[in-house]
This record gives sequence, C-alpha cells and structure tokens, in this order.
Amino acid sequence: MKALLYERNLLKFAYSNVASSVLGSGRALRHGPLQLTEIDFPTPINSQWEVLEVIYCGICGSDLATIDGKSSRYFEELVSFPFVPGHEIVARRQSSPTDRFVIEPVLSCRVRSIDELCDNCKRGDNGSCLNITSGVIAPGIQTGYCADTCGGFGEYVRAHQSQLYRIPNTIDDKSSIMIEPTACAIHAVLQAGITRTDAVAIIGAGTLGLTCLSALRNLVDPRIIIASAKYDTQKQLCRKLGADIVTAPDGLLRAVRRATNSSAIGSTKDPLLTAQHKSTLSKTLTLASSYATDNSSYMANSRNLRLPVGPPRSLVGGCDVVIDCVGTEQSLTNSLSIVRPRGTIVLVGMPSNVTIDLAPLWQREVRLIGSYAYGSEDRSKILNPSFQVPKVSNRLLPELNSQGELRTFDLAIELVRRCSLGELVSCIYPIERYSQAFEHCAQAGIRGSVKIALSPLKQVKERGLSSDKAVGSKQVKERGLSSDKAVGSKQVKERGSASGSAVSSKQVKERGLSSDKAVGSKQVKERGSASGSAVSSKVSKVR
Amino acid sequence: MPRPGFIHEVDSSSPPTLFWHGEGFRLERLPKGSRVLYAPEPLEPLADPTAAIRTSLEHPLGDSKPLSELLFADMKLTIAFDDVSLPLPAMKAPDVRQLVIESVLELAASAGVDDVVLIAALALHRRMTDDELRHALGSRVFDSFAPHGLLLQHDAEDPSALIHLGKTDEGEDVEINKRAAESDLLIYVNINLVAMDGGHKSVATGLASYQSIRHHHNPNTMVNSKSFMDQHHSELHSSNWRMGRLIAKSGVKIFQIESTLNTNTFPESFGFLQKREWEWALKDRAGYIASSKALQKVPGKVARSIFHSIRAPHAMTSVQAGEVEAVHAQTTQNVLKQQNIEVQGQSDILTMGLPFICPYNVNSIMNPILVACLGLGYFFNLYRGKPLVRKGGVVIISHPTRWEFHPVHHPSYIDFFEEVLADTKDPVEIANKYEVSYAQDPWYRHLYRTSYAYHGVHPFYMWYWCAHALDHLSKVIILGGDRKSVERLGFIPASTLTDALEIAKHYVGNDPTITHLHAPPIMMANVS
Repeated sequence: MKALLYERNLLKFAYSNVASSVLGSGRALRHGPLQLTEIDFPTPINSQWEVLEVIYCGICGSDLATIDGKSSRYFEELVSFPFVPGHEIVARRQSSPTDRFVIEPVLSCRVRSIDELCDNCKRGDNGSCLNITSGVIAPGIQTGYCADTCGGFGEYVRAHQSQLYRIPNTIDDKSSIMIEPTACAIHAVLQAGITRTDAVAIIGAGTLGLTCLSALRNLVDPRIIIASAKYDTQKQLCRKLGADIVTAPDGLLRAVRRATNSSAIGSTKDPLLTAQHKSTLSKTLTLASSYATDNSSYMANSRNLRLPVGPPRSLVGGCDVVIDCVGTEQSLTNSLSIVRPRGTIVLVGMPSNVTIDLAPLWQREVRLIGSYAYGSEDRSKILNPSFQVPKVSNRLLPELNSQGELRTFDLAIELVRRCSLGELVSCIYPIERYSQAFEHCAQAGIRGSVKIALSPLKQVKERGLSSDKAVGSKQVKERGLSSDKAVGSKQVKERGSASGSAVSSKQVKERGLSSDKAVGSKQVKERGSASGSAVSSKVSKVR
Repeated sequence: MPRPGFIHEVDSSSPPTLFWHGEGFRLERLPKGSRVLYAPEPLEPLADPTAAIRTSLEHPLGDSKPLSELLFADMKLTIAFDDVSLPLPAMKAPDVRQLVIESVLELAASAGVDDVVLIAALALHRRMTDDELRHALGSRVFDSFAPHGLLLQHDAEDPSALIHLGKTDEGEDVEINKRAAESDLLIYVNINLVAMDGGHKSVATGLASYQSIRHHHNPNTMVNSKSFMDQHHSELHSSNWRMGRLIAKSGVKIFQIESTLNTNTFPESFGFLQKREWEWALKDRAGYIASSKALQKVPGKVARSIFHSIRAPHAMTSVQAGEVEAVHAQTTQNVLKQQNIEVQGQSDILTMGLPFICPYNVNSIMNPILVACLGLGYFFNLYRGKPLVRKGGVVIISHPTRWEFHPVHHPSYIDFFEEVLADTKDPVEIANKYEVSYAQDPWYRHLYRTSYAYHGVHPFYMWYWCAHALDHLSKVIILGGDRKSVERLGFIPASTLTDALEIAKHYVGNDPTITHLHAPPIMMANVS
C-alpha cells in the first residue's frame, strides 16, 4: 500500500533540521526522512485489532515539527522506526464503508495487550499510560509514532478495538478530522480547573487555540476569554467561537491588563523615554537626597517621580489561567507575564528545547502544567449547564468505560457537532501532494487556513473537486482566485473604489500596489491558495 | 503696520500652497478658485511687558482691588498657572508665566506673604517635567519653590487634595484643588493662545477633578459647542461659567491674570512658514528646500526632536488682571484682534495641514487620536458664526498619522485606539460603553499621578473634541496618512491631493468649493 514513511536516518534528520530553518517550515521534505513509498499491506496483530481504510488524516503541529526535524529528542526512545505518521485519523471498515471511526491514538495498556492495566489506564487516563514501551507492539506513544500500527498518512491503519469511536451520522467525514484535536483541547481546558469567574487567556489561534477556545466557552464558560491571534481570519474565528476580547499578540499584555484591572511593571529602558525625562529623573533623585534632611514634603513629592514607566512588560496581577497553544520560548515568556500570582499556565502546544527565565514562575508561585492527549474527564469540571454531556458513548467497546467514565473523545464528538468545528478544516490534499500540504500547513495562519489534512483515498481527487475540499494544486489556485481574498486587477479596482480610497484606475493601481492589500500576480496566487481555506461562517458560537 | 488676515483665491499664477504634514511639509496645487486663508501678521508686541504686567496688577478690571491691596502677611496665597500645553510651540525664554509670576511674587514679598504655593493647573494632563517647569517659570522661581515642596502639580485623583464645593443649578459637581480653594487668594496665571482658553475655564477645569470635568467634557457638550472657540455659543463654556460662578459664590477669591500673544510662531530659520507663498524670498525658498529635504532624510525621531526643540518667538500683546469675567472679556477681544479673519460663506471642502504639535504632545508623539483631535477638534472649530465647511461637507487633513504612541505619555491612548476604536467610532456609544472603565482604571490613575501619563480618560476627551465635526461632516479624508491608522479612525486614506479631492467629490458633488486653512499661525475665522 501507499504510505508516507518516516525512517531513522541521522543525516536526513540533520538535513531536515537545517533545511527547514533555512527554507522555512514544511519546505524541507525532498531529502528528508519522510518519503512516499509502497509498504506491505498491514494485517491485524491479533483478534482485537482491525485494519481500517484511512479516509482522512489531519496534519498536526507535532507532525510538522517531526518532519522539520524540530521535535524534542525526548521522544527518541518513545517512538519506533520506521513509522507512518498521522494520528488525527478518520477511517472506515473496507468491508463496510458506512462503519466510520475516529481513532483514539494513544497506545495504552489495552492496546498493548497488557492484562494488568497500569494505575493510570485503570482510571481511564490512557494518555498517562505507564507501559508505552511494552507489550505486543513496538514503542510509541501514539498511532502515528509506532512502527507496528501504521498511521493516518497511509492507505490503511491498524487499530485496536479499544481505540475506536464510531462517528455518528450527524458528523461527516471531513468534520471528523477535528475530533482528535478537539479532544486534546477539551482535556487541556478541563484539567486546568477553570472556574466560571475566571479570566482566561489563550495564546495562539491555530487549530489548538481555536478548539481550546470552543471547549472553554462551551464546557466551562468562564467570565472572560481573551484570545491572541496573529492573522485576520484567526481573529474572526476567535470572535465567532466566543472570545470576549481578541487581540494581536503584541497587544495581549495590555488587553489582559485592561480586562483584569491589573497594574503593570514597566520598562525603564524604553527608547522613547525622552532624554528630558531621564534628566528629570536623575535631577529629582539628586535633589531628593540633598533635601532629605530638612523637607519631608519634597521627599514625598519626589517619591512619586521615581517611576518613568515605559511600555509595560509584565503584569502585577493578570489572568487566572493562561492556555499556551504555541509552546515556544516567546509564548511561555508571554504566559508568565500575564498570569496572576498563583495562577495557572496550561502548556498545550508541543514545546521543544526552550530557554526562559523562570524567576516570575518562582516568585509568583505560578502553576505550569502540561496537557497531552486525552482519556477520561471529570464531569464536575464541566461547569456550563447548557452543555449536554453525552449520555451514550460512541466507543466501539463501551463496556470498557468502567464506572461510567466520561471519555474525552465522546465530549469531542459532541463539541464538533455542536459548534460545527468541521468548518475549521480548510483544505484536504491527496497524499501524493503531501509536500504542498505540509507547506500549506506551515503557512496556515498567514494563508487564512486552519486545519490541513491529507487523504490517501484513490478517488479523493474526484471527490475533492465535486464536494469535499480535497484539491490538486491547480484547483487550489483556482479556488483561491475565486475566494474573497484573492483578486485580479479587476477586483483590485473594484475594491479600491468601493473603499472610497481609490478614484481612478491609475491611482487605484498605484495605491493598490503600494498598500499591503494589493497583490501582484504571484501574491494573488499565493494568497488565493491560502484563502481557499477560508472557513465558512457556519462555525457557530454556542454559549 | 502688520497686515490683517488674507484670503487668496487660487488662480493659474498662484504658486503651490504649503501644507504642514506632521514633521514635514507638502507643496500642493489647489484647484483654481480655491480660497486660502492666511493668518493676520503678528501684532506689535508690548514694548515693556514687565511694566505692562505691573500696571495690570495695579489697575485691575471688574470689581477687583489692586493686587497689592489683596496681599497681606500671614495670608495663604496660591498661584496656579497654565501647564505645558501652552503656548505652542513653547515660547522663547522668558516665558510669559515667568514674567507674571515674578511680578506677583515681588508684590507678595513686599506684603510679607510667606505661605505661597505654586500649582501647575494640569487638569487631567500629564505632569510637567522639571525642565518644563523650569522653562515656564524661570530658574529663579523654580529654584526658590521646587526644592522646598512648594511647587506642586495639580493631582485630580488625590482625594485628600480636592474639595467638593457643591453642585451647579444643572447638577454639575464642582470639585477643585483644596489648597487653591482654601487659600485667602488664588491667583491664576493664564496664557491665551486661542479664544477657548482662560476665563472660568482656567480654575473650573485646570484645577478640577474628573468628577467635575466629566460634566462638560462629554459628547453632548461638544456637539453643542459651536464652536468651543466662541464662548457665547459653547456649551463647554456655559458649563465652566456655571462652575466658575459657583466657585466664586463658595468664597474662593480669584485674581485672574490673562495675557495674549502675537502670531509670531516660528523662528527666523522657519520664517517661510509664516509667509504667503508668492512672497517667499530667495532665503525662504532656500529655507524650505533645505528643511524639507533634510527632514525627509533624517529618521522620524530626529525630525521630531528638531521640531520640538523650536522655541517660538511669541511676544506678549496684552495683559489684563482682576475679576475673572471682566478680564476674560477683554482678553477675548485682544485675541480676536490678532487672530480674526472675516470669511464670506462656507465651502464644500475644507483642507488643512497639521503640524507636528498640538496641546497634548509637547515633547511627545502626535498619535493618530491627537491627529483627529487637532484637525477636527481644534482647527475645525477655529470659527465664529458658521464652520468654514458646510454641513455634509468634507475635511481633508494632511498628516502622516502613523500608528505610533508615546508609551509614557499616552498609555491609555494605545488601549483606546486598539480596543475602543476597533469597536465603535460613535462618541456617544464610546462614552456609555467605555469611559468609566478607563477613567477608573487603577493603573492609568497610578501612571497619571506618579509618572508622566495623561489621565486614563483623556483619549476619550480627544475623541469627544471631534464630536461636533463628526456630526457636521459627511467624510474626513487623511492625505498621506498611514492607511491602517486612518481606517481605524474611521476616515479615508488618500495618497495624493488629487485622490483626496476626487474622493471628496463623491460626497459633495462634482464642482466643489474649497477652502484651505493655512495654519499655523493660528487664525479665527468669522464666517458669515
């Protein structure tokens, strides 16, 4: 069968790492460790396993990091090579195509045929399984990182029955791509212990950020949600999904300060602080000391002059909870600057090696918690009474839900349905065009897209053109051009005059070219293909 | 003999017209038939300002006694003075405030007055730096008072330093500086650069709290001040006058000293800025070319510091002292004597070039909100009778309007621009939805009181300042402005004057009449 295979090859790792740094994320595939190849058709490992036909598989940020050679070396012993990546899997039984499933990819005790479940698996916390390197299959934290299971970026995948959740008829194949990332988001939101009176900030507005936002608004509904988003499409989606305040990343600190009525600690190194202020400061301090013995009122006055405050660089108070969906040095530093003392930072975005100053974490007694994967959830943490917790599990083997545990995946299926999160799926590429898909994924934000997926189905090209969003490169361009952001010269003129800012064709063109909205033919194509993505207004804000 | 204001009608022989453009200039060709309004030439200054000040103190207007008779030993004397927002640009030393305060202090010293405190009447403006205070008051005054804690800056957010004197008949709170109110005599030293300044507004606004100022700094008052440069048709002034009378009735004794300046605004090196273009001599042309080319080449920060280092050769044309209303009536006449220009009829389009400075960005950055305020608040309102532009007309403002803010001086402006204006441009909605939260924001309060920040509510006032113009005009176009900033303001960007005029025609018709306000220097149009 056809699959993208990731092999262990140090030279190729090194190449990916360097080349992706130079060429950009998602652009270093040609000589990297990932190749489209033919591999043996998988067979069931034992009677509890099935081989399913992959319909779609979403590209996760962790997939991109792996392919870029940017993943943490921590994972080296937790995966087995070669593996077929892809864990946001929508699949079906080949014998019965109406039997559609999403796979909970964590490879826990049951999947590994370990009879004596570890303590975490007993509680249903598969994500924290203690046996991820043992059992009948090779090491691997998830399907998509294990040599024995195959992954979503191949035509077929092995899945243990305990991993399978039936997709209800109310959710189509494309929307089902969002179930796995939504489960991650729900798990992150519920384990943070957020209350309804809390102010919560979400950093990042990619797939994880947006699904966290949706989960937060629908399952908890806290007092205020502040979302930071870089691009216009992301900002629009944040508003639709229920953010109270949406801000650019560089405005996040100020927005949080306003929303939480906090004070700030300013920088005295502000280059805009005029020389006059600086000289005033030093003179004042000198005067203050010289008159300190004989005039207390002047001292009182001078005390007020000690604070030539530049741009605020961190808050004294801040948010109760910050959900960091980026996981970089910068995002963690920002999180620390806007969380209140004794607040919580939830790290959802997969981090790698970062260097940050943890002094604020120490001094402010901030809780930093990681959030990986999913499992079962505590019902008491779902505080929004309007959210209907599913009464029946979609799990293929519901009897595994001992003591009526509430599976994250069941919540995710309900949230995807309730909020039409399938609309966040921007583009599905046939697997043969994986290099374009990864490049698109790396540039999703700037191209106005959210979730990019691959499909190994042979007929996907035809299906994509008619109904679904799977498209070849030509179609991507065409769709882009027809979307609202991509414009040819005619449209540039129309837009110019419509906005009242351009008046004659010549001026419109001139102004268009000079403004950042104007696009040359190359940019039109690029932006066009990006905007093909665009998410429909159906994404619903449900409170 | 200085020439009065002049209205030039552009014809085929007219040279291009100079437009201010922030820290730079543009030469633009206005369509034939356009009117260009030039300010009156500077009046002859007083030959001996110090002597004139002394005379005014001894021959007060209204029912006031001479100052020497109001001063006595053991009295509590407070001298309040206008802050850094006046005059513009800062004037060459000695500043008028220095001359007046030195004369007052000499009389106070003769009378044996010991308890003297100076207060900068900041209202909700930022605190002045020591250098700014020293420039305004002179080293002698500064060094005599500042080190002893006797030179204060009004703190509108210090409950212990405020006193509530009551409410006017209209229910307006009157809360002012406690030290000033409880003094045996409050002397207010004013500089009247435009007709809006002075009168009861000096104390009722300059020494008031937010609780008091909010009654007249709001969209309703501003829309009904037509214009707020015309005291008799200004709701802003009516409110201040009610408050001022209540202050007087409460027993606060005020001795008002007001001075007027001529329109000699720029030093010799920028002399071309005060001349009519067809009268530019070779030296003026060379000055224009040299300065505009140099300004284009240097970084914006450098250009800003060049302009803010300008010291205007303003000179005093009158000084009057005594009872507030009598003094201000005389002052207003003297202001108009210098600035008045008679204009027949309104036009469809009003154009203006905005300079680098307005009252709220001295030694600072002219951010987009201040651009709107200077254009639509100040320049648009430089009229008596009717606005220079007709109802439904268009204003074209030339300014770079960069998305740039001074983080120390204007912290709440940044949030206002990014949060409030992103939501709505409607002054009434803005006031209802956001004003209180900004006014009471503890961080803004802290910065206003202890750093050099304008009060949290100040950007709201700047936007309300535009309310009359926004209500009157169909569109505002910014020529040469940063597109994103301009759109955030709700205005239309245009890259050339031709573009701007073409856009304007969409709103005012194909054959518009155009008036260009060639300011500064400042003028006051009496539109019939």
